[in-house]
Amino acid sequence: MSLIEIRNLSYIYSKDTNCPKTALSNINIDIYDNEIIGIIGHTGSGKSTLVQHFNGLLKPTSGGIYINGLDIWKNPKKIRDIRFKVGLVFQYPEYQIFEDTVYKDIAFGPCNMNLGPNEIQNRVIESIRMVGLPFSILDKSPFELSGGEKRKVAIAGVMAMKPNVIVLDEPTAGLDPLSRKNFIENLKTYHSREKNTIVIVSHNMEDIVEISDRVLVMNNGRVEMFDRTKDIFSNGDVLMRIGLDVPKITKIMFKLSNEGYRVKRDVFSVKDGAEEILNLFRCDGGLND
Amino acid sequence: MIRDLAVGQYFPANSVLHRTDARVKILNLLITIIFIFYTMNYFSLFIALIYVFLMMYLSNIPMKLYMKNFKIILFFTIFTGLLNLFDDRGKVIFEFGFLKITDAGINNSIFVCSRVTSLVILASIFTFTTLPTDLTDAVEKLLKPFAFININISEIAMMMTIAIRFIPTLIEEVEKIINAQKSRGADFENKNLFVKIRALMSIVVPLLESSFKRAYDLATAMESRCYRGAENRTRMRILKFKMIDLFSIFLTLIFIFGVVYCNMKFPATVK
Repeated sequence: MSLIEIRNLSYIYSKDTNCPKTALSNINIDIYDNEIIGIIGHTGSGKSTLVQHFNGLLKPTSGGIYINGLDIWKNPKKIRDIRFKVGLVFQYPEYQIFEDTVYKDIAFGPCNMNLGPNEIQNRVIESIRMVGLPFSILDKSPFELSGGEKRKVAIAGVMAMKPNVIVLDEPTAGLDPLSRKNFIENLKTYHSREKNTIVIVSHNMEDIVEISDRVLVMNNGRVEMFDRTKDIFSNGDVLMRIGLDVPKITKIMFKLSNEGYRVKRDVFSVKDGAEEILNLFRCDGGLND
Repeated sequence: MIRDLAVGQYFPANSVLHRTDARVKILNLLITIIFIFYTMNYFSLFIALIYVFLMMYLSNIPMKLYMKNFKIILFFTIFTGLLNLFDDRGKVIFEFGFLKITDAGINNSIFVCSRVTSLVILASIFTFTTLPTDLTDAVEKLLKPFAFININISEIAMMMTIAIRFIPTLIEEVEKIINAQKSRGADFENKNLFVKIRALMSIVVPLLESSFKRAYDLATAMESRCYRGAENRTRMRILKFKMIDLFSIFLTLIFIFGVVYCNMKFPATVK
Protein backbone atom coordinates (compact mmCIF):
# COMPACT_ATOMS: atom_id res chain seq x y z
CA MET A 1 0.00 0.00 0.00
CA SER A 2 1.24 3.46 -0.75
CA LEU A 3 2.18 5.84 2.04
CA ILE A 4 0.85 9.00 0.44
CA GLU A 5 -1.93 8.69 -2.04
CA ILE A 6 -3.21 11.70 -3.94
CA ARG A 7 -6.39 11.30 -5.92
CA ASN A 8 -7.82 13.80 -8.44
CA LEU A 9 -6.47 16.69 -6.43
CA SER A 10 -7.19 20.21 -7.67
CA TYR A 11 -6.48 23.49 -5.96
CA ILE A 12 -7.69 26.97 -6.89
CA TYR A 13 -6.28 30.09 -5.24
CA SER A 14 -8.71 32.90 -4.31
CA LYS A 15 -11.61 30.74 -5.31
CA ASP A 16 -14.38 33.00 -4.09
CA THR A 17 -13.04 36.20 -5.62
CA ASN A 18 -13.33 37.56 -9.11
CA CYS A 19 -9.84 36.39 -10.08
CA PRO A 20 -9.52 32.68 -9.22
CA LYS A 21 -6.27 31.01 -10.24
CA THR A 22 -5.94 27.30 -10.78
CA ALA A 23 -2.70 26.17 -9.18
CA LEU A 24 -3.13 22.40 -9.41
CA SER A 25 -5.43 20.38 -11.58
CA ASN A 26 -6.22 16.73 -11.32
CA ILE A 27 -3.10 15.42 -9.60
CA ASN A 28 -2.85 11.65 -9.09
CA ILE A 29 0.27 10.30 -7.44
CA ASP A 30 1.37 7.55 -5.10
CA ILE A 31 4.42 7.76 -2.89
CA TYR A 32 5.66 4.61 -1.21
CA ASP A 33 7.47 3.96 2.03
CA ASN A 34 11.24 4.46 2.15
CA GLU A 35 11.41 6.30 -1.19
CA ILE A 36 13.19 9.51 -2.06
CA ILE A 37 11.08 11.56 -4.45
CA GLY A 38 12.43 14.56 -6.32
CA ILE A 39 10.02 17.21 -7.53
CA ILE A 40 11.08 19.51 -10.36
CA GLY A 41 9.23 22.11 -12.36
CA HIS A 42 9.69 25.70 -13.44
CA THR A 43 8.73 28.60 -11.16
CA GLY A 44 4.97 28.74 -10.70
CA SER A 45 4.39 25.17 -11.84
CA GLY A 46 2.68 24.29 -8.56
CA LYS A 47 5.44 22.43 -6.71
CA SER A 48 5.21 24.43 -3.51
CA THR A 49 1.42 24.39 -3.61
CA LEU A 50 1.49 20.61 -3.97
CA VAL A 51 3.84 19.99 -1.04
CA GLN A 52 1.72 22.22 1.20
CA HIS A 53 -1.09 19.74 0.67
CA PHE A 54 1.04 16.89 2.02
CA ASN A 55 0.78 18.08 5.62
CA GLY A 56 -2.61 19.73 5.41
CA LEU A 57 -1.57 23.38 5.27
CA LEU A 58 -3.77 23.74 2.23
CA LYS A 59 -7.07 22.01 1.82
CA PRO A 60 -7.71 20.69 -1.68
CA THR A 61 -10.50 22.40 -3.61
CA SER A 62 -11.46 18.95 -4.84
CA GLY A 63 -9.98 15.50 -4.59
CA GLY A 64 -8.27 13.92 -1.62
CA ILE A 65 -5.02 13.00 0.11
CA TYR A 66 -4.67 9.71 1.92
CA ILE A 67 -1.83 8.94 4.28
CA ASN A 68 -1.56 5.26 5.16
CA GLY A 69 -4.93 4.92 3.47
CA LEU A 70 -6.66 7.47 5.72
CA ASP A 71 -8.19 10.65 4.37
CA ILE A 72 -6.33 13.43 6.18
CA TRP A 73 -9.27 15.82 5.91
CA LYS A 74 -11.78 13.36 7.34
CA ASN A 75 -11.47 15.05 10.72
CA PRO A 76 -10.17 18.62 10.24
CA LYS A 77 -9.67 19.01 13.99
CA LYS A 78 -7.00 16.30 13.92
CA ILE A 79 -5.02 17.94 11.13
CA ARG A 80 -2.24 18.81 13.61
CA ASP A 81 -1.45 15.10 13.99
CA ILE A 82 -0.78 14.91 10.25
CA ARG A 83 1.87 17.61 10.62
CA PHE A 84 3.80 15.36 12.99
CA LYS A 85 3.65 12.53 10.47
CA VAL A 86 4.63 14.68 7.49
CA GLY A 87 7.32 17.23 8.34
CA LEU A 88 7.55 20.17 5.95
CA VAL A 89 10.67 22.31 5.66
CA PHE A 90 9.92 25.52 3.82
CA GLN A 91 12.10 27.47 1.45
CA TYR A 92 14.60 29.57 3.42
CA PRO A 93 13.59 27.92 6.69
CA GLU A 94 16.11 29.99 8.63
CA TYR A 95 13.48 32.73 8.90
CA GLN A 96 11.26 30.61 11.13
CA ILE A 97 13.73 30.45 14.04
CA PHE A 98 12.48 32.35 17.06
CA GLU A 99 13.74 30.93 20.35
CA ASP A 100 16.69 32.36 22.25
CA THR A 101 18.81 29.21 22.10
CA VAL A 102 19.33 26.67 19.34
CA TYR A 103 18.31 23.89 21.73
CA LYS A 104 14.94 25.46 22.50
CA ASP A 105 14.23 26.12 18.85
CA ILE A 106 14.88 22.54 17.81
CA ALA A 107 12.80 21.39 20.77
CA PHE A 108 9.79 23.48 19.65
CA GLY A 109 8.37 20.72 17.41
CA PRO A 110 8.86 17.85 19.89
CA CYS A 111 7.41 20.06 22.67
CA ASN A 112 4.30 20.59 20.59
CA MET A 113 4.02 16.80 20.37
CA ASN A 114 3.85 16.71 24.20
CA LEU A 115 6.83 14.37 24.55
CA GLY A 116 8.63 13.80 27.84
CA PRO A 117 11.73 15.90 28.65
CA ASN A 118 14.13 12.97 28.21
CA GLU A 119 12.72 12.07 24.83
CA ILE A 120 12.92 15.70 23.72
CA GLN A 121 16.55 15.92 24.76
CA ASN A 122 17.42 12.72 22.91
CA ARG A 123 15.73 13.93 19.78
CA VAL A 124 17.41 17.34 19.85
CA ILE A 125 20.84 15.75 20.22
CA GLU A 126 20.12 13.17 17.56
CA SER A 127 18.92 15.70 15.01
CA ILE A 128 21.74 18.17 15.60
CA ARG A 129 24.12 15.31 14.84
CA MET A 130 22.09 14.40 11.79
CA VAL A 131 22.53 17.82 10.19
CA GLY A 132 26.23 17.81 11.04
CA LEU A 133 26.50 20.60 13.59
CA PRO A 134 28.63 20.45 16.77
CA PHE A 135 26.84 20.05 20.14
CA SER A 136 28.45 23.26 21.38
CA ILE A 137 26.06 25.16 19.16
CA LEU A 138 23.03 24.11 21.23
CA ASP A 139 23.50 26.80 23.88
CA LYS A 140 24.13 29.60 21.42
CA SER A 141 21.57 32.11 20.27
CA PRO A 142 20.39 31.23 16.77
CA PHE A 143 20.82 34.85 15.75
CA GLU A 144 24.59 34.72 16.07
CA LEU A 145 24.91 31.81 13.63
CA SER A 146 25.79 32.02 9.96
CA GLY A 147 23.09 31.62 7.32
CA GLY A 148 24.06 28.02 6.52
CA GLU A 149 24.14 27.01 10.18
CA LYS A 150 20.77 28.61 10.76
CA ARG A 151 19.28 26.62 7.93
CA LYS A 152 20.67 23.40 9.38
CA VAL A 153 19.16 24.28 12.75
CA ALA A 154 15.78 24.91 11.11
CA ILE A 155 15.94 21.57 9.29
CA ALA A 156 16.97 19.83 12.52
CA GLY A 157 13.87 21.36 14.10
CA VAL A 158 11.68 19.43 11.67
CA MET A 159 13.78 16.24 11.81
CA ALA A 160 13.40 16.22 15.60
CA MET A 161 9.71 15.49 15.18
CA LYS A 162 10.73 12.20 13.53
CA PRO A 163 8.14 12.43 10.78
CA ASN A 164 7.43 9.41 8.55
CA VAL A 165 7.77 11.70 5.58
CA ILE A 166 10.01 14.74 5.42
CA VAL A 167 9.33 17.25 2.68
CA LEU A 168 12.07 19.76 1.83
CA ASP A 169 11.21 22.72 -0.38
CA GLU A 170 14.42 23.83 -2.11
CA PRO A 171 16.67 23.09 0.84
CA THR A 172 19.88 23.92 -1.03
CA ALA A 173 18.80 27.28 -2.51
CA GLY A 174 21.43 29.90 -1.78
CA LEU A 175 24.00 27.49 -0.36
CA ASP A 176 27.57 27.44 -1.63
CA PRO A 177 28.65 24.36 -3.65
CA LEU A 178 30.46 22.67 -0.77
CA SER A 179 27.57 23.11 1.69
CA ARG A 180 25.24 21.88 -1.01
CA LYS A 181 27.27 18.73 -1.49
CA ASN A 182 27.54 18.15 2.25
CA PHE A 183 23.84 18.68 2.66
CA ILE A 184 22.95 16.06 0.06
CA GLU A 185 25.41 13.60 1.65
CA ASN A 186 23.92 14.20 5.10
CA LEU A 187 20.43 13.75 3.76
CA LYS A 188 21.40 10.39 2.27
CA THR A 189 22.89 9.22 5.55
CA TYR A 190 19.79 10.43 7.36
CA HIS A 191 17.60 8.49 4.97
CA SER A 192 19.52 5.26 5.31
CA ARG A 193 19.45 5.54 9.09
CA GLU A 194 15.84 6.60 9.53
CA LYS A 195 14.36 4.50 6.74
CA ASN A 196 11.73 7.16 6.16
CA THR A 197 10.40 8.83 3.05
CA ILE A 198 11.89 12.02 1.68
CA VAL A 199 10.35 14.42 -0.80
CA ILE A 200 12.72 17.06 -2.10
CA VAL A 201 11.85 20.01 -4.31
CA SER A 202 14.78 21.50 -6.17
CA HIS A 203 15.81 23.51 -9.19
CA ASN A 204 19.18 21.85 -9.14
CA MET A 205 19.14 18.82 -11.44
CA GLU A 206 22.46 17.52 -10.08
CA ASP A 207 20.94 17.31 -6.59
CA ILE A 208 17.86 15.56 -7.90
CA VAL A 209 19.82 12.99 -9.86
CA GLU A 210 22.16 12.38 -6.98
CA ILE A 211 19.52 11.64 -4.41
CA SER A 212 16.13 10.68 -5.76
CA ASP A 213 14.70 7.28 -6.65
CA ARG A 214 11.82 8.72 -8.62
CA VAL A 215 11.18 12.17 -10.04
CA LEU A 216 7.92 14.04 -10.35
CA VAL A 217 7.91 16.65 -13.11
CA MET A 218 5.34 19.42 -12.70
CA ASN A 219 4.23 21.71 -15.49
CA ASN A 220 1.46 24.35 -15.25
CA GLY A 221 -0.19 22.69 -12.28
CA ARG A 222 -0.23 19.23 -13.84
CA VAL A 223 1.91 16.14 -13.51
CA GLU A 224 3.98 16.05 -16.67
CA MET A 225 5.95 12.90 -15.83
CA PHE A 226 6.43 10.73 -12.77
CA ASP A 227 8.97 7.98 -13.21
CA ARG A 228 12.32 6.55 -12.16
CA THR A 229 15.08 9.17 -12.19
CA LYS A 230 16.92 7.44 -15.02
CA ASP A 231 13.86 7.38 -17.27
CA ILE A 232 12.99 10.99 -16.56
CA PHE A 233 16.37 12.39 -17.49
CA SER A 234 16.62 10.30 -20.63
CA ASN A 235 13.71 12.42 -21.86
CA GLY A 236 15.95 15.46 -22.08
CA ASP A 237 13.96 17.12 -24.85
CA VAL A 238 10.69 16.97 -22.91
CA LEU A 239 12.38 18.56 -19.90
CA MET A 240 13.91 21.31 -22.01
CA ARG A 241 10.57 21.99 -23.68
CA ILE A 242 8.94 22.80 -20.36
CA GLY A 243 11.77 25.05 -19.25
CA LEU A 244 13.79 22.55 -17.25
CA ASP A 245 17.19 21.06 -17.76
CA VAL A 246 19.20 17.90 -17.44
CA PRO A 247 22.47 17.69 -15.43
CA LYS A 248 25.43 19.29 -17.19
CA ILE A 249 27.22 15.96 -17.66
CA THR A 250 24.13 14.46 -19.28
CA LYS A 251 24.03 17.41 -21.65
CA ILE A 252 27.64 16.76 -22.65
CA MET A 253 26.80 13.11 -23.30
CA PHE A 254 23.81 14.11 -25.42
CA LYS A 255 26.06 16.38 -27.48
CA LEU A 256 28.76 13.75 -27.94
CA SER A 257 26.24 11.17 -28.97
CA ASN A 258 24.61 13.60 -31.41
CA GLU A 259 28.05 14.17 -32.94
CA GLY A 260 28.28 10.44 -33.59
CA TYR A 261 30.40 9.27 -30.69
CA ARG A 262 29.27 5.99 -29.20
CA VAL A 263 28.49 7.00 -25.62
CA LYS A 264 25.56 6.17 -23.40
CA ARG A 265 22.91 8.89 -23.15
CA ASP A 266 21.75 8.03 -19.65
CA VAL A 267 24.79 9.24 -17.75
CA PHE A 268 24.01 11.42 -14.77
CA SER A 269 27.15 11.65 -12.66
CA VAL A 270 30.50 13.18 -13.52
CA LYS A 271 32.22 9.97 -12.47
CA ASP A 272 30.22 7.81 -14.91
CA GLY A 273 30.65 10.44 -17.60
CA ALA A 274 34.44 10.41 -17.24
CA GLU A 275 34.39 6.63 -17.37
CA GLU A 276 32.31 6.71 -20.51
CA ILE A 277 34.65 9.18 -22.27
CA LEU A 278 37.72 7.21 -21.21
CA ASN A 279 36.09 4.12 -22.69
CA LEU A 280 35.94 5.91 -26.02
CA PHE A 281 39.72 6.12 -26.09
CA ARG A 282 40.32 2.68 -24.59
CA CYS A 283 38.37 0.67 -27.11
CA ASP A 284 38.82 2.85 -30.16
CA GLY A 285 35.16 3.68 -30.08
CA GLY A 286 35.87 7.23 -31.14
CA LEU A 287 34.83 8.55 -34.52
CA ASN A 288 38.19 9.98 -35.50
CA ASP A 289 40.30 6.95 -34.66
CA MET B 1 -7.37 34.69 6.77
CA ILE B 2 -5.31 37.83 7.45
CA ARG B 3 -5.69 38.74 3.82
CA ASP B 4 -9.39 39.22 4.49
CA LEU B 5 -8.70 42.31 6.56
CA ALA B 6 -9.93 45.01 4.26
CA VAL B 7 -8.61 47.88 6.38
CA GLY B 8 -6.56 50.32 4.37
CA GLN B 9 -7.27 48.56 1.12
CA TYR B 10 -7.80 50.29 -2.19
CA PHE B 11 -10.68 49.00 -4.28
CA PRO B 12 -10.43 49.85 -7.97
CA ALA B 13 -13.72 51.07 -9.39
CA ASN B 14 -15.01 53.94 -11.43
CA SER B 15 -16.90 56.44 -9.32
CA VAL B 16 -17.04 60.15 -8.66
CA LEU B 17 -15.30 59.53 -5.34
CA HIS B 18 -12.44 57.71 -7.05
CA ARG B 19 -11.97 60.70 -9.30
CA THR B 20 -12.10 63.30 -6.54
CA ASP B 21 -8.80 64.89 -5.57
CA ALA B 22 -7.21 63.13 -2.58
CA ARG B 23 -6.51 66.44 -0.83
CA VAL B 24 -10.18 67.34 -0.96
CA LYS B 25 -11.10 63.90 0.29
CA ILE B 26 -8.78 64.13 3.28
CA LEU B 27 -10.13 67.53 4.30
CA ASN B 28 -13.71 66.39 3.75
CA LEU B 29 -13.07 63.32 5.87
CA LEU B 30 -11.58 65.30 8.75
CA ILE B 31 -14.33 67.90 8.72
CA THR B 32 -17.22 65.46 8.40
CA ILE B 33 -15.85 63.34 11.23
CA ILE B 34 -15.65 66.39 13.48
CA PHE B 35 -19.22 67.33 12.65
CA ILE B 36 -20.55 63.81 13.03
CA PHE B 37 -19.33 63.95 16.61
CA TYR B 38 -20.99 67.33 16.94
CA THR B 39 -24.48 65.99 16.20
CA MET B 40 -26.62 66.82 19.22
CA ASN B 41 -30.11 65.65 18.33
CA TYR B 42 -31.82 63.09 16.14
CA PHE B 43 -32.36 65.61 13.34
CA SER B 44 -28.69 66.40 12.92
CA LEU B 45 -27.79 62.73 13.36
CA PHE B 46 -30.25 61.92 10.60
CA ILE B 47 -28.52 64.39 8.29
CA ALA B 48 -25.16 62.84 9.12
CA LEU B 49 -26.47 59.37 8.34
CA ILE B 50 -27.91 60.58 5.04
CA TYR B 51 -24.51 61.99 4.18
CA VAL B 52 -22.81 58.67 5.02
CA PHE B 53 -25.28 56.67 2.94
CA LEU B 54 -24.96 59.09 0.06
CA MET B 55 -21.17 58.64 0.13
CA MET B 56 -21.55 54.85 0.24
CA TYR B 57 -23.83 55.06 -2.75
CA LEU B 58 -21.48 57.36 -4.67
CA SER B 59 -18.43 55.20 -3.97
CA ASN B 60 -19.59 52.31 -6.17
CA ILE B 61 -18.03 49.85 -3.70
CA PRO B 62 -19.87 46.55 -3.14
CA MET B 63 -21.79 46.46 0.13
CA LYS B 64 -19.97 43.23 1.03
CA LEU B 65 -16.72 45.11 1.62
CA TYR B 66 -18.34 47.58 3.99
CA MET B 67 -19.90 44.73 5.91
CA LYS B 68 -16.49 43.12 6.26
CA ASN B 69 -15.00 46.27 7.79
CA PHE B 70 -18.08 46.70 9.91
CA LYS B 71 -17.76 43.18 11.30
CA ILE B 72 -14.26 43.94 12.54
CA ILE B 73 -15.45 46.85 14.69
CA LEU B 74 -18.76 45.24 15.64
CA PHE B 75 -17.49 44.06 19.01
CA PHE B 76 -16.04 47.47 19.80
CA THR B 77 -19.27 49.22 18.83
CA ILE B 78 -21.44 46.92 20.92
CA PHE B 79 -19.09 47.31 23.87
CA THR B 80 -19.10 51.12 23.83
CA GLY B 81 -22.83 51.08 23.19
CA LEU B 82 -23.39 48.92 26.29
CA LEU B 83 -21.16 51.10 28.47
CA ASN B 84 -23.09 54.18 27.42
CA LEU B 85 -26.43 52.60 28.28
CA PHE B 86 -25.87 53.19 31.96
CA ASP B 87 -26.35 56.80 32.84
CA ASP B 88 -27.37 58.41 36.12
CA ARG B 89 -29.30 61.22 34.52
CA GLY B 90 -32.76 61.02 33.02
CA LYS B 91 -35.80 58.88 33.61
CA VAL B 92 -35.17 55.29 34.73
CA ILE B 93 -36.58 52.73 32.32
CA PHE B 94 -35.11 49.42 33.49
CA GLU B 95 -33.42 48.54 36.72
CA PHE B 96 -31.34 45.46 37.54
CA GLY B 97 -30.07 45.88 41.06
CA PHE B 98 -27.58 48.70 41.04
CA LEU B 99 -27.61 49.01 37.22
CA LYS B 100 -30.02 51.57 35.88
CA ILE B 101 -30.92 52.13 32.26
CA THR B 102 -32.30 55.57 31.63
CA ASP B 103 -33.71 57.25 28.54
CA ALA B 104 -30.60 59.48 28.44
CA GLY B 105 -28.50 56.32 28.49
CA ILE B 106 -30.38 54.84 25.55
CA ASN B 107 -29.99 58.07 23.59
CA ASN B 108 -26.28 58.16 24.42
CA SER B 109 -25.83 54.62 23.30
CA ILE B 110 -27.62 55.17 19.98
CA PHE B 111 -25.55 58.28 19.28
CA VAL B 112 -22.23 56.69 20.16
CA CYS B 113 -22.91 53.60 18.07
CA SER B 114 -24.00 55.52 15.01
CA ARG B 115 -21.13 57.99 15.31
CA VAL B 116 -18.49 55.27 15.58
CA THR B 117 -20.02 53.30 12.72
CA SER B 118 -20.23 56.40 10.52
CA LEU B 119 -16.64 57.22 11.30
CA VAL B 120 -15.44 53.78 10.30
CA ILE B 121 -17.54 53.75 7.14
CA LEU B 122 -16.32 57.18 6.06
CA ALA B 123 -12.73 56.18 6.72
CA SER B 124 -13.20 52.98 4.71
CA ILE B 125 -14.77 54.92 1.86
CA PHE B 126 -11.67 57.09 1.87
CA THR B 127 -9.21 54.20 1.72
CA PHE B 128 -11.32 52.22 -0.74
CA THR B 129 -11.41 55.12 -3.18
CA THR B 130 -7.92 56.58 -2.77
CA LEU B 131 -4.72 55.13 -4.17
CA PRO B 132 -1.98 54.96 -1.52
CA THR B 133 0.31 57.03 -3.73
CA ASP B 134 -2.34 59.72 -4.09
CA LEU B 135 -2.83 59.66 -0.35
CA THR B 136 0.83 60.33 0.40
CA ASP B 137 1.00 63.01 -2.28
CA ALA B 138 -2.02 64.68 -0.77
CA VAL B 139 -0.57 64.53 2.74
CA GLU B 140 2.64 66.05 1.45
CA LYS B 141 0.77 68.87 -0.26
CA LEU B 142 -1.47 69.53 2.72
CA LEU B 143 1.46 69.65 5.14
CA LYS B 144 3.39 72.08 2.99
CA PRO B 145 2.25 75.17 4.94
CA PHE B 146 3.86 73.66 8.04
CA ALA B 147 7.31 73.56 6.49
CA PHE B 148 8.33 76.67 8.38
CA ILE B 149 8.27 74.88 11.75
CA ASN B 150 11.19 72.81 10.58
CA ILE B 151 9.59 69.51 9.74
CA ASN B 152 10.70 67.76 6.62
CA ILE B 153 7.47 67.04 4.82
CA SER B 154 8.92 65.10 1.94
CA GLU B 155 10.53 62.73 4.42
CA ILE B 156 7.26 62.19 6.24
CA ALA B 157 5.62 61.46 2.91
CA MET B 158 8.39 59.03 2.00
CA MET B 159 7.96 57.23 5.32
CA MET B 160 4.24 56.95 4.70
CA THR B 161 4.81 55.61 1.21
CA ILE B 162 7.23 53.00 2.51
CA ALA B 163 4.91 51.98 5.32
CA ILE B 164 1.98 51.54 2.95
CA ARG B 165 4.13 49.80 0.36
CA PHE B 166 5.25 47.15 2.83
CA ILE B 167 1.86 46.19 4.24
CA PRO B 168 1.19 43.48 1.60
CA THR B 169 4.79 42.27 1.84
CA LEU B 170 4.52 41.86 5.58
CA ILE B 171 1.16 40.12 5.29
CA GLU B 172 2.74 37.63 2.91
CA GLU B 173 5.63 37.18 5.31
CA VAL B 174 3.29 36.54 8.24
CA GLU B 175 1.41 33.90 6.26
CA LYS B 176 4.67 32.18 5.41
CA ILE B 177 5.85 32.18 9.02
CA ILE B 178 2.48 30.94 10.27
CA ASN B 179 2.65 28.04 7.81
CA ALA B 180 6.20 27.21 8.85
CA GLN B 181 5.29 27.18 12.54
CA LYS B 182 2.10 25.22 11.89
CA SER B 183 4.30 22.64 10.18
CA ARG B 184 6.20 22.36 13.43
CA GLY B 185 2.95 21.76 15.25
CA ALA B 186 2.42 25.27 16.66
CA ASP B 187 -1.08 25.34 18.09
CA PHE B 188 -2.83 28.60 17.27
CA GLU B 189 -6.27 27.29 18.19
CA ASN B 190 -5.42 26.15 21.70
CA LYS B 191 -7.48 27.67 24.49
CA ASN B 192 -4.58 27.66 26.96
CA LEU B 193 -3.21 31.19 27.23
CA PHE B 194 0.39 30.06 27.73
CA VAL B 195 0.35 27.86 24.62
CA LYS B 196 -1.26 30.68 22.68
CA ILE B 197 1.35 33.25 23.70
CA ARG B 198 4.15 30.86 22.81
CA ALA B 199 2.59 30.23 19.40
CA LEU B 200 2.23 33.98 18.90
CA MET B 201 5.86 34.59 19.86
CA SER B 202 6.88 32.12 17.17
CA ILE B 203 5.39 34.56 14.64
CA VAL B 204 6.38 37.88 16.18
CA VAL B 205 10.09 37.20 16.65
CA PRO B 206 10.85 36.05 13.08
CA LEU B 207 8.66 38.84 11.71
CA LEU B 208 10.57 41.48 13.68
CA GLU B 209 13.88 40.04 12.61
CA SER B 210 12.98 40.00 8.93
CA SER B 211 11.46 43.49 9.13
CA PHE B 212 14.71 44.87 10.46
CA LYS B 213 16.62 43.08 7.75
CA ARG B 214 14.27 44.48 5.12
CA ALA B 215 14.63 47.98 6.53
CA TYR B 216 18.43 47.80 6.36
CA ASP B 217 18.31 46.40 2.84
CA LEU B 218 15.94 49.11 1.72
CA ALA B 219 18.12 51.81 3.25
CA THR B 220 21.15 50.43 1.42
CA ALA B 221 19.23 50.19 -1.83
CA MET B 222 17.99 53.77 -1.50
CA GLU B 223 21.43 55.07 -0.66
CA SER B 224 23.05 53.29 -3.56
CA ARG B 225 20.55 55.01 -5.83
CA CYS B 226 21.61 58.35 -4.34
CA TYR B 227 18.45 59.11 -2.42
CA ARG B 228 19.00 62.45 -0.67
CA GLY B 229 15.50 63.23 0.47
CA ALA B 230 12.68 63.84 -1.94
CA GLU B 231 12.81 67.64 -2.04
CA ASN B 232 12.03 69.25 -5.37
CA ARG B 233 11.12 65.95 -6.91
CA THR B 234 8.72 66.05 -9.81
CA ARG B 235 5.80 63.64 -10.03
CA MET B 236 4.30 61.44 -12.63
CA ARG B 237 0.72 62.03 -11.52
CA ILE B 238 -0.06 65.62 -10.75
CA LEU B 239 -3.03 66.35 -8.54
CA LYS B 240 -5.32 68.80 -10.25
CA PHE B 241 -8.34 70.62 -8.95
CA LYS B 242 -11.47 69.79 -11.00
CA MET B 243 -15.19 70.52 -11.06
CA ILE B 244 -15.85 67.30 -9.24
CA ASP B 245 -13.75 68.54 -6.31
CA LEU B 246 -15.78 71.71 -6.12
CA PHE B 247 -18.95 69.64 -6.06
CA SER B 248 -17.52 67.49 -3.28
CA ILE B 249 -16.65 70.54 -1.17
CA PHE B 250 -20.12 71.91 -1.82
CA LEU B 251 -21.69 68.67 -0.52
CA THR B 252 -19.63 68.84 2.64
CA LEU B 253 -20.64 72.46 3.20
CA ILE B 254 -24.31 71.52 2.87
CA PHE B 255 -23.74 68.75 5.39
CA ILE B 256 -22.06 71.10 7.88
CA PHE B 257 -24.78 73.66 7.44
CA GLY B 258 -27.48 71.01 7.98
CA VAL B 259 -25.89 69.69 11.17
CA VAL B 260 -25.27 73.14 12.65
CA TYR B 261 -28.76 74.34 11.73
CA CYS B 262 -30.49 71.32 13.30
CA ASN B 263 -28.34 71.61 16.41
CA MET B 264 -29.44 75.21 16.88
CA LYS B 265 -33.05 74.78 15.89
CA PHE B 266 -33.93 71.70 17.96
CA PRO B 267 -33.17 70.91 21.60
CA ALA B 268 -30.15 68.72 22.29
CA THR B 269 -30.87 65.12 23.24
CA VAL B 270 -27.31 64.23 24.25
CA LYS B 271 -24.79 66.25 26.19
